[in-house]
Amino acid sequence: MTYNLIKNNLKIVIPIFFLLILLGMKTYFSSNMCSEFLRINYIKDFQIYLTGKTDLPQLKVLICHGSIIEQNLEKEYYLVLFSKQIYFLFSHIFLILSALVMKFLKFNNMEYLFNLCLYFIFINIIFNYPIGLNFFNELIINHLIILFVLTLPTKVFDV
Amino acid sequence: MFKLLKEYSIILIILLAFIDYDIFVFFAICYFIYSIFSENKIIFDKFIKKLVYIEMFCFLILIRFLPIFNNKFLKIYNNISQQNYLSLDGKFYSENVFLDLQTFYFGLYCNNISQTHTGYITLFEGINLSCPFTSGYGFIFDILSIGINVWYLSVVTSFIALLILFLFYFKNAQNLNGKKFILLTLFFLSPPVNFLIFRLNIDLLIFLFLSFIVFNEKHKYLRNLILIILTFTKLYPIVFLLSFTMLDIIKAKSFIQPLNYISILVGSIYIYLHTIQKGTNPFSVDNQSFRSYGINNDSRYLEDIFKLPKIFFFVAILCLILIFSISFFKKIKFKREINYEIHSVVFFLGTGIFVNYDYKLIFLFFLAKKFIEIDNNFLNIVLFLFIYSSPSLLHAYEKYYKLIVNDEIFVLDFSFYILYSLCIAILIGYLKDIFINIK
Repeated sequence: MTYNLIKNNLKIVIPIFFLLILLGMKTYFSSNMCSEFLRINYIKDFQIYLTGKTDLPQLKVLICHGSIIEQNLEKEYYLVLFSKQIYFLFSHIFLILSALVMKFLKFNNMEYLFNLCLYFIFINIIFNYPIGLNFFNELIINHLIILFVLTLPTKVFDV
Repeated sequence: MFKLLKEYSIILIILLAFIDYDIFVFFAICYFIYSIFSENKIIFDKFIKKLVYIEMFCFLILIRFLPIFNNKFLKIYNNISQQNYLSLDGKFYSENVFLDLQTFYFGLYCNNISQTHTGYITLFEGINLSCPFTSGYGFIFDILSIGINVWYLSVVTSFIALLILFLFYFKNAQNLNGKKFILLTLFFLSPPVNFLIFRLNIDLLIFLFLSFIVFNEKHKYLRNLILIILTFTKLYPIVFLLSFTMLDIIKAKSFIQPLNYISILVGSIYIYLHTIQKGTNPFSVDNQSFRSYGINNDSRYLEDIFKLPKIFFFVAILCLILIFSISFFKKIKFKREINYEIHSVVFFLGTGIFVNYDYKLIFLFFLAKKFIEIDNNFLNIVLFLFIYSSPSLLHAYEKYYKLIVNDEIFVLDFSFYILYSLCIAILIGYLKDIFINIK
């Protein structure tokens, strides 16, 4: 029965499987090589400055995204590791590509929506945003837009 | 019970705006999508509509003026403001009530030679301004002057403008019900409108003048005169001279429109002189991506991210837009009974090239009204998701969507480009009409 359930929902199970593997790898490597993450250490009302100016290689920047580089208790701010390039690549370029792949593989609307949400959660976790209402940020709008635009070819509209 | 909840849900959603506007935005999007796809029709009775009007009155007018009578109400004032347009210092309670109008009037006050004070402290944030001070608008405002108290004048102007805005909403909403009523109400509660009211930018006055002209057009001379004056004020209203010219050509089925051409020429000369005098290049202006829109702005961010020339991204984006536009054009069936949406289309295409604050998106009202009337789900989704993500919901590290102070996160707003492409497709439709039907 479980086998049949998995077999019938491969378009949902496989992405979850990949997501879990990626998150597992991310957790394993980050625990070994990164300093503390902001989401664990944040003090209320401290200001946050993001910076990509670092000598670290890009792979390490990716794994340690969101870790604290500097904490200033006097001036009440954090300096946090953040790469504009990597963030843009994941949150925009890969997002469009994954949407196109799903369209190509003829995912139905529910599978499509589910996978986009999964991707959206993945982006939030990979960049170390804390879990909370902030999941509903700008990215979800982009997900929805892509979803609706890609379902367009069946429709003709009057203006 | 479920039916009752469904009918009263709009009341609850609007109430959220008074508690925390950032939460409201998300739930409004969910409610919007639900109302679009719901198979059960929602019908509001008179009582519910009256409650909505009361809420809208509070949102558009009452809450804006309460802090003026008592400082304690500033907390509520901040609750209905999105975090994006509050202070950029990470501490949220910026209290710059009607800031843009105050600075605009102070600029005019400084032009007055017989002024008694040379300084002014903005209410309530307490920014110190001193003469000489220019409002930053057209250079005609370097000549005009006022001698009245800046704050009192700001309050009176704001009250009149917001009252007219509320009446405008009421006039448009009173004959609607169900989904259409929801969409129109959500438009007037949207982040760009809220942003505009918060700042009380002079764009609100321009919008009100324009709306009056669009729906009560009688005299071409008066119409063009008003539009020229508006162009002298903020330059961009010249696009409305273009849209009215297009409509005149279609109506008269003739290219001979000398009055319009002269008006456009006068406006263009003024813009040219203004650019020379102020020395500003519209392509060099930039702004934070989370509260502004424009191809030039996005190109600037992409240039910064990928370290390639800006022109490369600008052209690439234009090519993508063109591909989308052609695809949309093939799917649109054009009808030409009502055509006021062209004002929004031309405005959006014109301002979308540069960099503009999101509060200018109130001018998409004419497009929204048209889409609501057409009742097409795709069109409404594209437009409303764009409007509700401008200013965007922010990425956060703390409660809700707290602003990350140094503008490192760039969001390339797909919805902007899809709507932009759609507008190009609509414009091509108009141009096709003009060149095929009119000889």
